[in-house]
Amino acid sequence: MRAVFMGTPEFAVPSLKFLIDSSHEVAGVVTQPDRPKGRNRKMAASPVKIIAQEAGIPIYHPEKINNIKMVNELRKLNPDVIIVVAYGQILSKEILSIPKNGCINVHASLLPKYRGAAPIQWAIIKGETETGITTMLMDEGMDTGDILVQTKVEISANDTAGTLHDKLAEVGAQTLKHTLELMGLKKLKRIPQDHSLASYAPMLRKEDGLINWDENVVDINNLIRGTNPWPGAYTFIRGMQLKIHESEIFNQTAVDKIPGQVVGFEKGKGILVACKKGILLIKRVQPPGKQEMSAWAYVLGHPIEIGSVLG
Amino acid sequence: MKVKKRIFLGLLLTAFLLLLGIIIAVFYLYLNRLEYVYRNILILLIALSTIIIIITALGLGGIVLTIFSARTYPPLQSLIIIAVKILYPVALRLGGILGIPKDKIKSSFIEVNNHLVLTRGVLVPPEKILILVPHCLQKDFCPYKITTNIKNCHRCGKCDIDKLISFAEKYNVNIAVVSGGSLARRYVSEYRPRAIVAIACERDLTSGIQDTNPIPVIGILNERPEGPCFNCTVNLERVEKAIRFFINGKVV
Repeated sequence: MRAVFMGTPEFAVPSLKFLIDSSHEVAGVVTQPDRPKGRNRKMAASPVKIIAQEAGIPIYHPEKINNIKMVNELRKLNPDVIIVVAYGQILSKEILSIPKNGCINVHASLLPKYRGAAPIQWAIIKGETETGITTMLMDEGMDTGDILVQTKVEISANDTAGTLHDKLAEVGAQTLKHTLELMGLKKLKRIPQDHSLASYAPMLRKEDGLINWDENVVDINNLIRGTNPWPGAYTFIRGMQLKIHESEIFNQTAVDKIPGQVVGFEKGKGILVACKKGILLIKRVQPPGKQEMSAWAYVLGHPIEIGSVLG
Repeated sequence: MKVKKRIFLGLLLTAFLLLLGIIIAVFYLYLNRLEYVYRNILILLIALSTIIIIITALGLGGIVLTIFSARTYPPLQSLIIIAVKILYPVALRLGGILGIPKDKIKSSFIEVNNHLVLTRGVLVPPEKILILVPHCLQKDFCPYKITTNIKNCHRCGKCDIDKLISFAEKYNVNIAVVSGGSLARRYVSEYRPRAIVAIACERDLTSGIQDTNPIPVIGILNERPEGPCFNCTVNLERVEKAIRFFINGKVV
């Protein structure tokens, strides 16, 4: 099949690599324009663009995908299918109608759950033990199209948004491969989504990482996992912000302590903090303007009194 | 300590004259070129520059006029906002070159903003007023953290939070504790207030005032007897005055 690939971040890279290595023809790659990156704000190409450049595939990076010029370019490419993996822009009806086999989206959740921009993070924050990849036939709604293939992926207790992202990116490529195989064999079944079961995973903001110690220890631990590496969970100590990168549930027994209170230390491991129901072990932290470090190293350099309260 | 408005106004005016000087220089340079293409570009540039100059001049004039005549000029309001947006960063850099501390310029800007808001005389129903309180007003030793929930406050009266909650109850206005600019912006989009009384440091107030435009904000600087972000206090009298101003639509 002749395909056009649309994608931007690292998540889309395994899918593009599979497509390049497959028997399908990649007629073009559409990605977001170069953006300033890092502390020096130098313009940087998207991970997808770098892969496409190496493979010598024509690259398009319009500011707006739905402008007439880009729609005409896509028509000229005459694709049988358009594959969209975390591209970052909504496609218009005109674009959706270009390929004869439709536009296939690789989404990082088991739709209709977690529609939206941050399904990986929210699945962890909400305490799911299972998520997955859905390929769907795109329509004009946000992740509302018919389901084609779903692959389940277990979320382990140690998974963070970062590790789960890497897992799902690979599974995404495999699921795409399976979807295209079925499409080639004319065996694809379209399953309409049950919209009454839909839930949403909006883009995370920095302030979503603020820890409320008055919550259950499990929920706080999930927030820390789900916001790692971005935007990062944080609390305050002596008026200074303290990012928390890694934690562990120490116990789930209700303690008669103020939520956020430091109740002790685990030598070599970190800080024990009381939550509403249980105690959390903080393992890795990052003080403002400093590198990430183990919580124990932080305690050795910044003595914390037992009884002091975070938040 | 009385903050002088003339620091900010003076810097605004100087920034404006600088901008004017640059435009005149470009104008002179191009005037000596006789090619038609350049001439057309020049005409376009002059037209654009003239529009920007007129808007900025009217906006700047509006600020000065509002402050010195102590009355508001509605047609100039949006021009004032544009003028500040264009000239404020230049004024800040200029202040840096002249060795004026940034915080001094920012507090001068806050003072000018407050004056403009007070002159406008905004009448707002209490439930549409939001008091934004920084979490650093809470004493560090207090075990009942209010960063995520102000209701955690046990009202012991050892810090200013108790009094601020009392104001919110007394006047039936909204109150929210924030840990930084992004959380403040989130509360503003959630509460959709029509007027804000914001307590913060110079940096957060100046960015907040500009970000929340056109919502009128009365900015009140926190006091930092123990250093930044730690056990801060606030002039409660000024906070109450600001709340009462919005409720009554005039200075009471």
